Amino acid sequence: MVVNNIVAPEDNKELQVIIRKAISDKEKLLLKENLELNAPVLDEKTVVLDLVNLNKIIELDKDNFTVTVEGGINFLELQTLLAEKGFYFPMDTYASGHASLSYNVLHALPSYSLGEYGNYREYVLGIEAVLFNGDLINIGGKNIKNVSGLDIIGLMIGSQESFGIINNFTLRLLPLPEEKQVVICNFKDIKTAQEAALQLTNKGISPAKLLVVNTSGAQLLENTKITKSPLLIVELEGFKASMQRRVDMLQEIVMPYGAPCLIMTDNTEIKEVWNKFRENQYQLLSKTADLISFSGFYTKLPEMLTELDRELVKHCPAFTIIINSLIGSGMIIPLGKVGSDWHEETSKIMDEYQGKSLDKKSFKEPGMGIVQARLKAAFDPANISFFGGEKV
Amino acid sequence: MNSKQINYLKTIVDPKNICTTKEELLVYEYDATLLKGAPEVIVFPETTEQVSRILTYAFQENIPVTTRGAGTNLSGGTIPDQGGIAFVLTKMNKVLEIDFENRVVVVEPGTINQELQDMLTPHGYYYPPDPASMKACTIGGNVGECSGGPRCLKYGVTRDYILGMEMVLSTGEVVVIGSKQQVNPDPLDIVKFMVGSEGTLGVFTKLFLKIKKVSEAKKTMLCTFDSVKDASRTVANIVREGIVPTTLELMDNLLINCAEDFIGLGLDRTADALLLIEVDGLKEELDGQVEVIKKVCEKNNVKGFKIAQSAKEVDQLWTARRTVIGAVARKRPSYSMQDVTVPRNKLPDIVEEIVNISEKYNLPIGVLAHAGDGNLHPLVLFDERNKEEVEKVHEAEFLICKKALSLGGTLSGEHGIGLLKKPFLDQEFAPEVLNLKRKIMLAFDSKNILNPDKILEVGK
Amino acid sequence: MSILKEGKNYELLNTCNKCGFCVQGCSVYKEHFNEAYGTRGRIRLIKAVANGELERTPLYEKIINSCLMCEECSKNCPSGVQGHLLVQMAREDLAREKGLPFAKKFPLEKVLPNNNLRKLSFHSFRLGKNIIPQTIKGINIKSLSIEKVDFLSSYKPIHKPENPKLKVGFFVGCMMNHTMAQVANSIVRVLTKEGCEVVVPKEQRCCGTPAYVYGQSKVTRESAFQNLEVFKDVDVIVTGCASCGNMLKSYGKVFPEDSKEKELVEAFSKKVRDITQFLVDDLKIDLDNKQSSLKGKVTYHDPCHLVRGQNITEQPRKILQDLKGDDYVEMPGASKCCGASGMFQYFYPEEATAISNKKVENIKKTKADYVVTNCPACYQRIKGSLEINRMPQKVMHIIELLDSK
Repeated sequence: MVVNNIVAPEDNKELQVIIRKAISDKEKLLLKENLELNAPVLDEKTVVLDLVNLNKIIELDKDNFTVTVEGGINFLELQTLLAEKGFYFPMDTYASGHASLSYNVLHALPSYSLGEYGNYREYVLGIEAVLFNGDLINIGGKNIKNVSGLDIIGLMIGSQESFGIINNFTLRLLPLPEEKQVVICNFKDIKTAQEAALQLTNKGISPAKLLVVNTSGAQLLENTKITKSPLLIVELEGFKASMQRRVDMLQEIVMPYGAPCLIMTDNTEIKEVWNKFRENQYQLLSKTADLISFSGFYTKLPEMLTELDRELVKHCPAFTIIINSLIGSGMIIPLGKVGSDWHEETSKIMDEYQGKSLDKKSFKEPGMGIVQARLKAAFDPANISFFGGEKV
Repeated sequence: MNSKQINYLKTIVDPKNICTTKEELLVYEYDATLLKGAPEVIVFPETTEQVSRILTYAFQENIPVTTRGAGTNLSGGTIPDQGGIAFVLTKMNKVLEIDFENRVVVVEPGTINQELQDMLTPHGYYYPPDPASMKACTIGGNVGECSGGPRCLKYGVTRDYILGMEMVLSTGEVVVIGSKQQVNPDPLDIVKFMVGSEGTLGVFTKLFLKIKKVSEAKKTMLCTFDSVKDASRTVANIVREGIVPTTLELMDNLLINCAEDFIGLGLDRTADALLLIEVDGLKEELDGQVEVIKKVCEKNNVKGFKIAQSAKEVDQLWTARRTVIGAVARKRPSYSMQDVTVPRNKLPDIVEEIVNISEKYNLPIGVLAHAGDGNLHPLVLFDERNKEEVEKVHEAEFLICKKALSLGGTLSGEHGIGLLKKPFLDQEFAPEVLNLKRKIMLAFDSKNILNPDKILEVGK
Repeated sequence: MSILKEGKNYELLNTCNKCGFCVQGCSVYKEHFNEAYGTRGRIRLIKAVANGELERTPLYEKIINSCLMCEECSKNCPSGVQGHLLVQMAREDLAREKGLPFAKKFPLEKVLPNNNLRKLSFHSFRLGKNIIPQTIKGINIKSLSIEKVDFLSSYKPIHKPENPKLKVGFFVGCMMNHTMAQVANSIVRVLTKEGCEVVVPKEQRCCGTPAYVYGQSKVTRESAFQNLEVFKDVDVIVTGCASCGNMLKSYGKVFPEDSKEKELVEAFSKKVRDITQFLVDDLKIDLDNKQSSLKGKVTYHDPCHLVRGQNITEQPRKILQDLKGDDYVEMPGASKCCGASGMFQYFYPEEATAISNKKVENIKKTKADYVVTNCPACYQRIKGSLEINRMPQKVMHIIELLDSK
């Protein structure tokens, strides 16, 4: 693998120059984060973009609850900085500690708190981006509501570097919640953990995070206090006044399952738990190419998970399952070599329960394919996106 | 369109669903704006297949197709100003599926927002987007415009509640994007991109919506102020205190009086501004929030602070708020409304400018705002039949738009660009962005037949 | 010049800002889903005729006449546009410019306002109805019982109470007079029992609603003068018909502004009460100790001309809720039109049947044993529709609950 062509622009103009050069020189571009997460095969015509120098906070607007930042800023660092000032940017992904804001947004990496706080589009109010046609564009601003013409911001979020690079963001912020508590409950199997999670989503407790993991997933927490078993991990945040009742409601739900709960109220401890979890998940993901992301209906998930857990052992001795129960989506990460029919077997089980694989594949319908090809041509006429060769 | 074309349409849908009489063409030339443009034929499809076959034919024959629901549009987006087909989806109005456990609803586009809410309420659920016209507007229209509403500050806009859709492309091809699950399986979020596309990219035939559980408790407050400035400062301060109310609505003196004329709630007619604030959540959380809000109000010279005591009182306040736009017509025969949006802390500046413009042109202008998100509805009152006055209205609105943009705002927060704001679009976007948008529109609709040249001039 | 172009009328037409809030409330629109059959569309077309953009075509006429006059749009309009009044105005214009077809003109101008002719025609209908089909255009003819001798002709004054509280004139109305004499008698009995002297002028005339809604205000004005005259000696005029009450209370609108006549009829109108309004608001009758004549579940249908025409919703419900022995249950969509709307049901049978069937569905949802209402037209329509749909519910006039003989 040749990785000798890493460039780190200092500002948007430099980024534009790099992109324009790629157009004229017929080079391919990708963000540096891909090297760890996507194991791309590079050649001498590949330019690796490192946004590390674009890491400034330009403006924290306390009246409007917005922050304008450069896209290269480390995601976790941004959140820490904001929290110190009493602001909250509620997106949190497995790559928070490693990847830039731009990478997280362009790939729409799933936030653990997506179910409660919504997706990136709700928080990205304005962007500056250099498109792969060489144009530097500026759209949106500090307005929470904006429907002036087509939603280019929405289109760029999750576009996986096929349209351009966002180098600057204006983000909507929320007030930092008064209090946070994390409750971790041990279940005897993943099915009942998921059943309890489903009940929780319907109780008005509104957890910020609601994860279910299998026993191997419990290792990710690296916490001696936690017994290793399938877990339900719940983060509650919000007003002090209602916290106790929310915890009580939660305990009431898990009680019939005989699931012991560990309650964490200390902020440093909570932070530590998530740091470990995130980091370990990231490390797992950067080592595998056989990850399966999926989504399913809440009501079908318990059965589907049970079957996946039971059947997949035949194709891989160990794997980690992490479910974001608030949105009914999750991933299965193999911890070793997988059999040849690993993917096929998973698809079969998911189909049976109307689950959906979230692989990076194209739309089935030919018309949508044509639309996408035309979209691609509008943004990236010279096809410089590294991911341009394959369908988005 | 010629009679051969119209006869062909009659082979696709029941002839009773094809209208060409002068009487019917006249009633499909307008929406809730003052703009006009008559279609050549009105078609009421009843199934996805019919939508598909009609678009296939329109594509082949190059016939403009303007899709429309209840016609409550506030930006002229549903006006068939290029003739062709007025494609009215009001007969595709079935709620196909309600799945409370998976929190998803499948509707046809002609479903009325309120009628869906009425089906959800008894079960303790709701669909959060609540445009003021919710009693009349269709979900399809809401998706086309990315409608907002008072609740957006906390709960977001239509875009945040659309999980997927069945859609017909301009070529007539039926595609399904997104899914009924909470996660979009497609890498590129075309679903969200369709929301707010104003009928220019495709025709929705089924929509998968996300629903929410109703909060356990809510409190509604009514606060009056002697100046709009105090009221808008209060708005910014409340959020600064760590509270995100579900709604933060502002009405100025003119609108307070209009609402009072229509509903008669005993609002303070002398107040310069009124804030309607609602917080929701678990019941223990509310008293503390109300206390904080009250303090913030007091710090900003609140004149009257009142907490609604009964569900009936809350209902009345909201009826007053939802209907006040129309109620202004009691003052003058016509009104025109913009929906510029500015950063929250720029509210006082834009309001000041609106007052100046109102004086300069001698036109009464009322201000209604979803103040929490800086979305304003300046209502200019006039008489449509007075040509001179209409000219002045155009000028005044242009100045309001310009001012909003200079304050870092945007032309439209929730009504869309349509025809009404199309002339201002180049004030907000650079030529490269407009060019890009043009290319995107052609990517979906290569012949520019779907709501042609709305939002911006596309050409063929 | 067309009346549509006249100053105040034309102003009214121009207050519509086309927000569309009226459309979804319109029951007829809900059968067509076509803008032309909703209020906003109708107003646009009336304006087109006023401006000379459109001729008074047969389709225009069909659209204008397809209005139920249920007043939903007028109540829903934030701008205060009175859709039903604009439609009435358009019908007035049509009657003047084009004339009414015989099928409407003859009954409206000749029969209804003439007490003798009216009696004769109801009588002939009674004799003939057994030899014609049992339902015509969705109207249940079989279930419509016509009195052999109408109430006014058979009525014999009953003893007035000693020291009567008030002298009450009873306005019967054509429909009640000819089809529900027992209800009329109940009204007299209940009022007398409550300490009122009841007078029933035999020469009272049709209230004028049918003529008014089809643009024949002239006929209504004549009715107004006659009724003014025969009721001049009473303290209060009470009626058990929502439409009659609505008309009597708003006679002023058929006279020119600032005219002497308008003043006179408005003074008359001030004395008019719906029976429920009179019992609950004026007499404040003691309901808590009264037994309902019905046992079981009862639900209530709001007549358009009561709920919207006269803003009366609480009084009938108070009676139903407070009376002992019955069990009140609210009907979904209680205030939606039942589909009768006078001649509408005959001229627009498809729409009327569909609208009535929705009412029947809502009645079904309540699982009630009785449907109570307060208007003979609604009473007959609902009764007929329930029978057509083979539903067991009985329809009652609200006064029948209070008259436990």
